[in-house]
Amino acid sequence: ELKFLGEMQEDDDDDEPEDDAFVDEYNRMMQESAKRAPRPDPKIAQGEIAVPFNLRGSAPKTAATGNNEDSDKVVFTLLGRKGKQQPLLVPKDTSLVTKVIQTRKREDDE
Amino acid sequence: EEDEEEGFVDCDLPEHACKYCGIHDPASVVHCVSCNRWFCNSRGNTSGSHIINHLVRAKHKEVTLHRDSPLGETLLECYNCGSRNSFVLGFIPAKADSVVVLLCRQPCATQAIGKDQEWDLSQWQPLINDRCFLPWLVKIPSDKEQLRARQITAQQINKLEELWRANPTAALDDLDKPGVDEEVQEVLLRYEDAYQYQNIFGPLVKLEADYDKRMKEAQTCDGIVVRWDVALNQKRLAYFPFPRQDIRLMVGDELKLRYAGELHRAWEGIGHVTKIPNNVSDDVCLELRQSTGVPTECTHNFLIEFVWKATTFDRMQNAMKTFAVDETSVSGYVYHRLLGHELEQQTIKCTLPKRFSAPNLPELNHSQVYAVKTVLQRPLSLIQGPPGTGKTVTSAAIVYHLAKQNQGQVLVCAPSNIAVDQLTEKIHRTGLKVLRVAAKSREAIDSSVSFLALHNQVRNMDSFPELQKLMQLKDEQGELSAADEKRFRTLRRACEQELLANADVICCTCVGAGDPRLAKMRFRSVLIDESTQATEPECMVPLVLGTKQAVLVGDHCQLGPVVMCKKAAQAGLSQSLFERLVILGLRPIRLQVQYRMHPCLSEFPSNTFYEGSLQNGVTAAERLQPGVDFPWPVPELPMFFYATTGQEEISASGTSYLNRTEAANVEKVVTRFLKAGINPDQIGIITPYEGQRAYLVQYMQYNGQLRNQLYEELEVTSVDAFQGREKDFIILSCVRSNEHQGIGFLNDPRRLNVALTRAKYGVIVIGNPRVLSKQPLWNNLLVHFKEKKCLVEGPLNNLKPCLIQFSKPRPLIN
Ligand SMILES: [Zn+2]
Ligand SMILES: [Zn+2]
Ligand SMILES: [Zn+2]
Repeated sequence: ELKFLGEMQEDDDDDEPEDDAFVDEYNRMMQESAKRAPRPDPKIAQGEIAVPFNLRGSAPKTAATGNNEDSDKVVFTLLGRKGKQQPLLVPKDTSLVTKVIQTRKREDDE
Repeated sequence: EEDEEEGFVDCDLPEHACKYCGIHDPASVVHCVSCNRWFCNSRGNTSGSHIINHLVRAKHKEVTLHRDSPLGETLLECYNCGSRNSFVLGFIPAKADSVVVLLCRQPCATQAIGKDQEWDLSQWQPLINDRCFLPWLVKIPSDKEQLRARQITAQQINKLEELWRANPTAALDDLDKPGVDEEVQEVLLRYEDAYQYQNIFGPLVKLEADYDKRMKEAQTCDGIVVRWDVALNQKRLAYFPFPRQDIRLMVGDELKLRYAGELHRAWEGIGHVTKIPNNVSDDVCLELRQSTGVPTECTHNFLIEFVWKATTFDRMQNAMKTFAVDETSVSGYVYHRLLGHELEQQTIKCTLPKRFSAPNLPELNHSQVYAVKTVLQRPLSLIQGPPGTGKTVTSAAIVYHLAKQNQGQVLVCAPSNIAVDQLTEKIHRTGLKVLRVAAKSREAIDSSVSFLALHNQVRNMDSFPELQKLMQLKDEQGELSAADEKRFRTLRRACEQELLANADVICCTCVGAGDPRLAKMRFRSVLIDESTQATEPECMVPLVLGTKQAVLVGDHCQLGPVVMCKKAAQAGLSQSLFERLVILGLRPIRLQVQYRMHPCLSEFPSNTFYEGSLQNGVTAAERLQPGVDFPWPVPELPMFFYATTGQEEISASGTSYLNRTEAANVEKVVTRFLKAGINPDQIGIITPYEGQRAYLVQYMQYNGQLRNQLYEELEVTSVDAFQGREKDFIILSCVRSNEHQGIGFLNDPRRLNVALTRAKYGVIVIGNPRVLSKQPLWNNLLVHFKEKKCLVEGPLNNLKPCLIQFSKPRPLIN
């Protein structure tokens, strides 16, 4: 009957504000799976994802939704598990977008 | 438009409105799949967005987006493996196309996916960042919307989440209703009657039960990889590494194993833990109740959940109720003494034995004889057994003589199974007929006294041939027909009752005394060992079975009971009955001769915790190991304080501390011991922090100079886990080394006492003297080591006196 309870009983006298407990637990949940690294089920993980043919060479386009807020976004396509393809608006200044634009530019220059 | 300016009214809100603040723009809300509630992505006045607040507090992970949101109704899951844990999902873009997929961080986003290198793994972008969902995925409501929404504080959120666990339909308004945040009453020293006692302890036990339930049920672990096996009894076994070191898992605990259905239809099965992680393997073994329908062809993507059982807490509540309503639960004298009433000391007339030592046990010393003799004549007594003073032998002798008084069977309890087993074994040696009653869930567990266990004795009862036959049939076939099963149960009950009735002594855990199999039995005499590690209500369970004579054994200068709920602990649930009786003026009989430690090791604990009363039953010569070449700074004093000033760090889990320099020094000391011919099982490494424990185990595995296997056999554990045990050599790694903060729970003098008194032959304390000396008790310890010329630093083969200036101790606040 191993008990590692000392830590939970730690008494630092001051009643910590509720938010600290929340932030601690948030950090734990963010880290939990990262450190564990379970192997994927070999039967499921085929480990190959291809960009579907219809999307090859799709250049990032500025969103044209008529919504002003969206003018600084580009349209990406989110691939779903069952072949679903959904438009996703991604801000121009995120690295997701800038990297793709860079790569395309380089390819175009070559 | 105008109506809304009036503010939100709950009943008018759509179903997808944020349960905290009411915001209901479909682009701003997220649906929690686990509990079917919606939350928005605004922070309000809290440190995370509402949806994140909810997911973290409720430990939920799966979400979908609203059908009217820009993306439409979408379940967020890993494209590759299907994991739905939002906390590990993130976007990966294609390198040259405007395409993204969602992948979990581990393992999918870290292994190559796609031979043609179409995806840019370096660009993994987590779905949740800075404690909210990516704002371009789930819109953050505008300031105007947020201002119009219901304002909710982090504290209210927390209470609401707590309320939902009891009542899923509760709303924010319910927080204001009475009864939600009642203050608990603190424990008293004296109680008017048993009803008042029950009224105060009942709610505290409930608090602890609720906390335990919440903790257990909130814990789900996914991504479990299972290895299947079959036990000798044909039961299906699942082995898997247990991912959460912060959860206390015990043999006998129930877990639910689930398969969500990717390669097999959805399945779930309940089982109990028969093996917990140890130094050799991190695997848990779960024995499943039902062997049929188990998807043994699958190995990955299982999930575990905890199954909470109320039994322990129900038994305590029942015991307090019995104490209140049943006049025969304890004698009048014991009743008043337990409640703290002033009474004249009573004596019991008994024929004192000529010889106080019990057959086949070591001869008792003078303080032990005194204890036995006194206890036999008193209806209520306390025995204080400092470390190594022969508490178990004394207890066994007391039980022996109590049983020989011919006043009925003696009930012997302790809070932990290990302690019960140790005492059972000693009592058995005296020749008494002992029966060990263990919980059903623990029957499969082997111990040194398994042969004395009730369920095993039942198997050997020749006087029940029909039962034997049915048992054999059940073993062979796995189950019996309904009629046979009924007959089997009747016979087994009869057999158990016969065995119980014929025993001189019955041993079980405190909570085990509430076992239905003991329900009709009465015990005039009860001995509770390690009673200072039990809560009061726990102690009441064995006491209310008719006690006229009670013996509580323990040591209130060592660690007390474990109470997880802070509120209940602060209200006094962590004070043992033993302790309260001491405060009330009942003087414990102290065992005074210690047989464990080298005299130089017992000096400081004796002076600090036992008013210098400990005498040494061993000589220095008996505790020196001549052949062992070890660089003790003073050869005749096998102890030193190894000054180390390495920095403490927060461990990878973010919830604990570690100290790499200390770990390196622990390895050097251990290696030196091993080279000197000490076996790994003679060495115990104690550290108060789980982070350091995990790091030490790992560090020695990879950096130990000698064979790996030697380091694997070392026991590295917490102070708390070492209570009640001993080793030849103890190395204590203190970890905390921070100039500005406290030293955490090294502050508890009882924990220091336990840590310092585990070793027979030698103790090495590794820590930062400047930091530790701020605490008055540690300051004394350091002065003690310094005076003995045992405060040293430098390489192990060239230890030099450490001349570091101590800090001025802060005044002791109690
Ligand atoms: Zn939920
Ligand atoms: Zn909200
Ligand atoms: Zn995945």
